[in-house]
Amino acid sequence: MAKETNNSLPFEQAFEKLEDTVQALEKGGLTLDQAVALYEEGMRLAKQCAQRLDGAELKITELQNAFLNQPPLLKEDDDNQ
Amino acid sequence: MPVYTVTQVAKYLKDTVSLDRVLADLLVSGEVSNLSRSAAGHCYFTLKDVDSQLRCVAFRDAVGIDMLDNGVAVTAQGHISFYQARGDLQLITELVASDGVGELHMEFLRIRAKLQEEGLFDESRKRPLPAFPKRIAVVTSRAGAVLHDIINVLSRRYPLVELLFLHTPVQGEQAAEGIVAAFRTLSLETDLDLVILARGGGSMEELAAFNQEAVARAIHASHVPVVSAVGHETDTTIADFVADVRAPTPSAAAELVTPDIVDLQRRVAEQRNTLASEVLGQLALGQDSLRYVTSRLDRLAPDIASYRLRIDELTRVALATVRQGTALLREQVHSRGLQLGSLQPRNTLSRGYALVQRTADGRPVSSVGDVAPGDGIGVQVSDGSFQGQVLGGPPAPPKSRPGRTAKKRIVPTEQGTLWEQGLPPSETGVSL
Repeated sequence: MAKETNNSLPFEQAFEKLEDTVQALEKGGLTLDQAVALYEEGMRLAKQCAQRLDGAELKITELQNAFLNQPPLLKEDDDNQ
Repeated sequence: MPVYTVTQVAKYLKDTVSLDRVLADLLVSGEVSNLSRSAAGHCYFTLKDVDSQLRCVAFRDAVGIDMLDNGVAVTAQGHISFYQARGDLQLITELVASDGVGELHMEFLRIRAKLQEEGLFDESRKRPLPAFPKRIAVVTSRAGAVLHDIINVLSRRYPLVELLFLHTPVQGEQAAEGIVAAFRTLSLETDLDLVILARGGGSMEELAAFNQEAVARAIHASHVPVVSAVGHETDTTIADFVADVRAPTPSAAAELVTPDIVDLQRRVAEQRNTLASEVLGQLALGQDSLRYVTSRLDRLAPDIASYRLRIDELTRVALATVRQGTALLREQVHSRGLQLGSLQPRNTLSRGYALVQRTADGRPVSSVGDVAPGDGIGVQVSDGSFQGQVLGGPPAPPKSRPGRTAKKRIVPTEQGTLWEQGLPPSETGVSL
């Protein structure tokens, strides 16, 4: 269950969680079991983050500019370099 | 012909001047002279050229007032007003710029001053950019390289984002309206992280839309941070002042708003290493403390070996004590045996006495009354026993007849010795 939830985290949250996990582990004061659990959680997040970064592809959506519903005006004017 | 008072004439002049459309807003170029600054910071001066001069006032909040100096050629923007008290016409100057500056620039200075006054450029209202944007809107023209440049940078640096593109002309008459409309469209977008308003470099005239007040206000009203990337680094537009962040170029804007994927990949790898080394450290720590506890446990555990030794010792002492006790007992038993031996009837028998028992019930005969004539008796002597029979009663006193003496017939028996039947062997069964 927890795994599934984590997998659907956006990159930002997964990365933040990863940093938090590492920090918690660095801070210490944990039982060995807790440390190992954090380690496993962190490794899963790291893998997930890496996969996201590796597999990402820019998504481009064009929004219709309400003003541009009258198209003829634009093309002439539009000689921006 | 009517006669007017001076005040009536002055008032008429003042009204006439104030109603004149040309005099209401004009640019005048000339050389500054007779400059004086009042304590309050207002400037009084004369603008002159070869043939004429014009009295001018610049109140202290006039734009560019600091550049006023005698002999400087300037362009002043303002309106003409008739000053009744002195009968003077003067130019109330709102903006001064060095001479040679065009109308467009004057307008730019005017709007900039106005918006600055209103606080639209305040640093305090600049919003920070999100570290990991998810949706970025780009407002620019479809034509030209700007969109292409931005897409390139985003694909390379941070392809995790979604780019929303809004086309608008970025120069010409429709540009300002198109940009304002784009922002209006974007105001309906939820989940938007920021807007990049971009255009390639151009002349002041080509960038004019980005200096318009309506565009500035649209940027200001945006619900998400706006990054301006208009023209080249040297062209600063009003849009740049209002934007939350100003980028020198469109590509720079794209870089500015995104983290670098290579850097992120490195950071993820670093975090992974840190995780591993931390957990290994913790494990080593755990092993150390385990070793420590084990050694403490060893030290604190009951010393079984010494208990064993102690038990051995106690056992030895106990054994020795018991042995000593039994030896003593044996000694006593032996001496009692000897005592008994001396009381042994056999010893008496060996001296010639005999033990007589009634055959009927085995009771010893110790009195003449114990037997009657004819009773069977057993007689035991030192080396055995025999059976007899009572022949008569006791003899008459003093001189009894020999014939009346008891005559006993002795029959040997197989009775064991008292010794054998009674006491146990002196050596007890104790053995430890």
